[in-house]
Amino acid sequence: MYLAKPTIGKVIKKQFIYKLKANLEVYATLVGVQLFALLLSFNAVAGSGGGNNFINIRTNYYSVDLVIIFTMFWAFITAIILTTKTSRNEDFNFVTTRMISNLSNGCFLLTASIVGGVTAMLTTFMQKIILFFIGGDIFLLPENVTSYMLEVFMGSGVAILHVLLLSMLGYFIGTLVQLNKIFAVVLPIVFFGLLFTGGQNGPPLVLTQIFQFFFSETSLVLFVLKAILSAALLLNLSIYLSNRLEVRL
Amino acid sequence: MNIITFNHVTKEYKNKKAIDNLSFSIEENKITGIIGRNGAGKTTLLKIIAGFFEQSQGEVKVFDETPFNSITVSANCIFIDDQLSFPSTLNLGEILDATGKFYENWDTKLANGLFDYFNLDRHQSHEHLSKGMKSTFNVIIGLASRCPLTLFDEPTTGMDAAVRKDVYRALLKDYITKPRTILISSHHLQEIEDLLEDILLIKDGKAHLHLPVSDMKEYAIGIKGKASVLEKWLENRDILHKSNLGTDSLYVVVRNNFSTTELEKARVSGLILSQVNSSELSVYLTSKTKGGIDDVFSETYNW
Repeated sequence: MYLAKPTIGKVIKKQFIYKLKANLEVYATLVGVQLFALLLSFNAVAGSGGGNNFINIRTNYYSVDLVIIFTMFWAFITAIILTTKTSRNEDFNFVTTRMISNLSNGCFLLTASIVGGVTAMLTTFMQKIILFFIGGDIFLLPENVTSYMLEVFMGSGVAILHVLLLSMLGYFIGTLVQLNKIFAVVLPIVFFGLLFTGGQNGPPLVLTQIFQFFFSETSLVLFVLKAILSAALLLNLSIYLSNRLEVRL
Repeated sequence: MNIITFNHVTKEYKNKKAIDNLSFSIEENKITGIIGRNGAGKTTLLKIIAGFFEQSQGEVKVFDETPFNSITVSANCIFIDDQLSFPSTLNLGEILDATGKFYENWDTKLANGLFDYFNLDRHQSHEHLSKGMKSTFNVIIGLASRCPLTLFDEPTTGMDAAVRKDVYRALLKDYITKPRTILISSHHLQEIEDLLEDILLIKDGKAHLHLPVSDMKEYAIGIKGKASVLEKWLENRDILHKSNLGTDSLYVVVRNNFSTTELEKARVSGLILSQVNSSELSVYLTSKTKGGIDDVFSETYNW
């Protein structure tokens, strides 16, 4: 009898390509989320004004940080959806194992993070164009366009890592909930509990510390390392924890 | 060569044993029917073979590998039931194409041929198909993927009689062109009887009987006659079923280990002997009580 003996790499590739197509609607959601966030971003984050009898100057600072934050939420939810029973069952319609299923989900989330991060960063141009035409604002172009483009480029990289980090966190949390439904109750309680404990006179908030660990990192290299290692760790934990999970119950 | 081997396998869910110390093996290129009542453990059994579930105890070997998390088993085995669901973003045509990419032996020609014959439309979505159409589509996937091990769990749910007949015929024809190991679970033994070579009868998670269909026809014998005469014959016999016919007549089904002379004597003493067909027999073998549903009424109302 002839048995097919596919390699793990080949099957991951097939599952990944299949998932790109099967989950195409996540990008439609992404567009919606980013447009909404962009709309909210037309509130200037800061502004200053001044002038004399002859001239009046008003400076507004706009940013697309909000778009990136919304994209991170999108990635978080997208990852949780990937861990649900339905999508796990659908993986097992075809050739797979639990590890292949998780790794191809990881590849899919990485792709989604790249798309999400880059598009989030690019909305900065859309914002400038709209402000120029509708707001009548004048966009102050930096003197050195090359260094500005480099900034946007690096900004995209950092945005990708932020989005990736959140997606892997979502994937990990989703996996925990699949293992035991009690996590769906416990995790939000822990989250909100941590949100309100400590601070002020007591020890610093745990969540603030975690937040600072990632998002207040001033060294780019260190941030990249922290983000990549944490994302890899979360995916590995998810693979390890879900390796005995039964499907099609 | 054995494709599937179960060695004292138990599967527990919350202290209830769905599969209980089950041992059997299935040879290459045979069509085996998994027969049993609702909740007997048929689906659990098939899902363990497919690697969806992990057994609690015992050893399972499929293609000489433990199926749970085995890439070889996954690549060479397909499990078809009416719970199959596909992403709503894909239409039927795209699902067929996607499936074809995963299975090496996929037969596009066969898939398209069956697809057209059963009047399916490539642009339809899977979730909006009727129950019977969904099952038909799933069977097409099961056949066209041509996996060395094909598992059908109640494949004909919701199909009308004509389609059921066609599906079974397609299955048999395809099996003849490309022999492979096929397991079918069904309530309708009658319908698949002609298709099967072997029967694995399951009762309460245990293998009750595993034998060729041809032997099943001679496994038991039905005897009808006066209760007084019949009682004498039934001493030390393995009674599978017993029901009253009128006030003093009985119909019993017993294990057929009579000699020819004994049977001749029975006929002379006025007993009517009859063959028990395999679907009738499987009902008796898997029933919890000897008298079937009649027992409930006789105990409740003292009939």
